[in-house]
Amino acid sequence: MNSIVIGLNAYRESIRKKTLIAFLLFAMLVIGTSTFLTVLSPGEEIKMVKDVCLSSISFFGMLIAVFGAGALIPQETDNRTIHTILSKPMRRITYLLGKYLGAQLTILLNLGLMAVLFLVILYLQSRRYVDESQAPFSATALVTMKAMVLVFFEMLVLSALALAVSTLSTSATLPVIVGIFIYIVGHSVNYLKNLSEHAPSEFMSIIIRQFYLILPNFSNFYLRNQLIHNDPYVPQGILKLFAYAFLYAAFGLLIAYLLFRKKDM
Amino acid sequence: MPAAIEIINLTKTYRSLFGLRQVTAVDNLNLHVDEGEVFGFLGPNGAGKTTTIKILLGILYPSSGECKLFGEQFTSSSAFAPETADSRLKASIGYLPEGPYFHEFLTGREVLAFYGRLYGLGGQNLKKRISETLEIVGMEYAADRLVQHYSKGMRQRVGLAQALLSDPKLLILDEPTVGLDPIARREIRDLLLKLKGLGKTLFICSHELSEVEMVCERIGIVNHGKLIKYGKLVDLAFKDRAVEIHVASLSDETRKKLEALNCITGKHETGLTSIRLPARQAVYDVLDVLKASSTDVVEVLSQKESLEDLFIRTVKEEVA
Repeated sequence: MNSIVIGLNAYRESIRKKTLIAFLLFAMLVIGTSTFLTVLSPGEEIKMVKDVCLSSISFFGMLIAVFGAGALIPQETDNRTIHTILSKPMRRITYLLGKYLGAQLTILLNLGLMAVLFLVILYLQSRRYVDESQAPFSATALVTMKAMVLVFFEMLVLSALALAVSTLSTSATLPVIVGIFIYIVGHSVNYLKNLSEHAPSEFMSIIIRQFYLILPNFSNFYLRNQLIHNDPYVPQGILKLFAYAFLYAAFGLLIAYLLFRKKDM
Repeated sequence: MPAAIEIINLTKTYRSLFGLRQVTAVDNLNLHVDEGEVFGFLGPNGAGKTTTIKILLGILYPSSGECKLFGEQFTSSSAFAPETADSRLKASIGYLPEGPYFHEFLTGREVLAFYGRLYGLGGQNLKKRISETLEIVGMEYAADRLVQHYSKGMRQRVGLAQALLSDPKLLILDEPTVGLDPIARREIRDLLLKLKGLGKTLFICSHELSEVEMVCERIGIVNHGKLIKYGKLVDLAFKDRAVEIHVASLSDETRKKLEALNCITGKHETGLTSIRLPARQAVYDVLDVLKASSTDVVEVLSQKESLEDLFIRTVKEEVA
């Protein structure tokens, strides 16, 4: 129950943050103006719109997730609100889960707004470039929704890891940097495998392979090809991907709890 | 009856990242606060007061030693100690931090609703408690204003209200009157006395020594993390203080006897003869001499030390 109280409060706090509002506005601007970029690829206008919009949603979603989740605890530590909160009858895990819940609500709201604009743009584009070979808008909408759900799964993992790092930090800088690093490397995990095989030394190969094994593979959550080809089939299965994301998020929260449990505040 | 607070051999050492530097904020502290007592916890800046309070609240963890609240172990230095007992015991504590800070986007009433829910309050009961505490601290008029528009004193009052929300048995107040105007300070002092009358245990950490003197029964003075003075205020304030006896007149023989007892005699501005005693322990010996010589004793004055004098003297003695 206390987690919900903390979560709702964290959500109310996050949606007022100027940084997060700026990210959302930027994302909306990029999505909204994506139609103007179609001049760069005549004949592939819808593909272009889908590509730009999905990349923007993933990128700005990542920024919102790492800034949102990574700043919650350092900010409350900095302004000392955390002392009053932790003096109340509540376990620290409750506090952490509450903060995580608040971050998810913020991410959901932002992704939701971006997804709605994305669908509106796609709808307008589908009316503008009527192509008999293209699937109907309902099919596009279905794949788009699936793509958005997977972006959210990715953010579940990223925000949990950013929250874990934030328990060690006195400012949001470290969790944000680590979060962005995990996002970039997480999207390049498949390259890491190749890199480990062609590493100049055995030692480097082992190190890179450990990264490959430990880091979440975010390319699983990126449905670019399916979206472009209106293919609703998700190779790994949505439930499996949810379980994958859930396990990584749970791991992140476990690390956060172990670091935060007896931390001097 | 178990003590409301029992601190046993408490030590807190802050270590730098690689343990190269360490600072002992609390050094083998032992303290006992009875239920229903008003205890003043005093000390100069950096003495370890806030660290002790934070350990009492489970915000910091001790390096060694333990704290018991109402007879139950509350915080432990063990990394594997469960949090459950802490959580349960916290329900009986109200805490006002120094210079309380609240979420700026909330109104005073919403702040109280937030903290009230963390105590498990809800529905009509929560609304009732919010109204009651707002009335107690005199903040009904500004309850629906955003906290960001509050003055320091208003924040302090809301801080006190949130500490009172759960009707706790123990109130830990860190500088409860700081930033308040004289009228508000008097109101808070009256409130503390009222809470004392209701049988609440108050653990007050303050630099406003005159306030502490008016409210607290016992005090503990800490410096460099160590408890250097501890006991009933009345005992500490009178202990080792000089006593002066005023008599109508003094014969030479009696004067010599008194001087043999290390007393200093002289003429007081009122025309009476004054006898300054070296220590209050000598008062009965001196009175015996005066009685034997049938000297007319006009008054016996015990010079009480103010808490401020006591505090400054104690800290200076400790430093010396």
